[in-house]
Amino acid sequence: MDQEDFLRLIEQNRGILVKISGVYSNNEHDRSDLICEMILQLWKSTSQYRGDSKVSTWIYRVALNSAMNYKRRNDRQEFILLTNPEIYASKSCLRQEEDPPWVEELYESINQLDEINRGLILLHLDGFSHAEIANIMGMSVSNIGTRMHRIKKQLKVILTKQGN
Amino acid sequence: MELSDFQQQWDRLTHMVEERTEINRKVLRMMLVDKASKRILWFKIDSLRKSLLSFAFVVFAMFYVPIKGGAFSYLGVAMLILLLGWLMFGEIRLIRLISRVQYNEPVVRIRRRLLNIRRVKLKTTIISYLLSPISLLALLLMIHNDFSDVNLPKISGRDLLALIPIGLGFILSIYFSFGIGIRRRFRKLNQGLAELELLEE
Repeated sequence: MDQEDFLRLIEQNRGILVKISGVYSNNEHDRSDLICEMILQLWKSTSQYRGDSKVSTWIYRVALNSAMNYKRRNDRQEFILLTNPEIYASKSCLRQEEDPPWVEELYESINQLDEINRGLILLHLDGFSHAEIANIMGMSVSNIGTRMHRIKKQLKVILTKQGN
Repeated sequence: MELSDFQQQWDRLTHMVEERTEINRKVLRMMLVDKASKRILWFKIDSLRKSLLSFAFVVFAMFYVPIKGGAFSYLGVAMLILLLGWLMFGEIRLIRLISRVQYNEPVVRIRRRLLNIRRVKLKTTIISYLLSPISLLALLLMIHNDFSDVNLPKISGRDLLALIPIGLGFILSIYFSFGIGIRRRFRKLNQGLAELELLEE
């Protein structure tokens, strides 16, 4: 996959990255940083994608792994980036309009779940079947079923609290 | 809000994101070339720095000892080389483990790999701390000829008796502040690993 093909792929699937970054980070700065991190990890993983699964499955896997293991950039890395000031100045990889308040509430309710459960509910909401979720997460299908049941209960409590 | 409303809002968000977001091609093009390569470079520089420091120290010791030293000094150098070799081996093992992590593997497997790396890192740190008195002894052996003219005060049996409780207090304080904390961290890591294994079954 060359750079242009990759950019086209990111363009087609930008929604996945935006939603994952919303669920796994707390502020605007971290969100935009995380999106860049996910894109970078995807770029580094392109050689390992053999086309044996759907593109969206591969994107979710890499993006979720990056998000769950994401640590804020430290000063050492920032210093290295100064060698190319243009990237440093405009580090946002996506151009985005500001989100309406209900989007923040949506992210906030999922943010209250633990890291693995956040990934599970995200995949469920995006319409993946239990078998597909099991494949992305590396869990057994029976485990997914039990977990999903628990997550839905937990989410219901969170939403009721937010409604009050 | 009910879960069905939540799903509807999520679908609305999905639709909205597509409409209101576009990729920053110019920045992305530069980032893919520049940032990816520099990150790898930094990782290499860091591990190279650690290895070079150990190597430089060994070279220094090897030149220093033949000039100043005797049999004990050679023994000190040999001990240091063994210790630094072991530390370098630990570093290489960690680098190999980290470079094996590929983000296109299933999420739970990656988390297990990373927890395992943290466990290996913790183990290496503990062992290097435990070996630090030996490295101190090796250093003393290496330079002991320089201090052969210095008259050290003689320690009597009574002095030794007074030193024992101080030494014991020192060892116990290290055990309680360092050992218990580490055991707790190990327990947490093992618990995390066991939970992840259960998810995979």
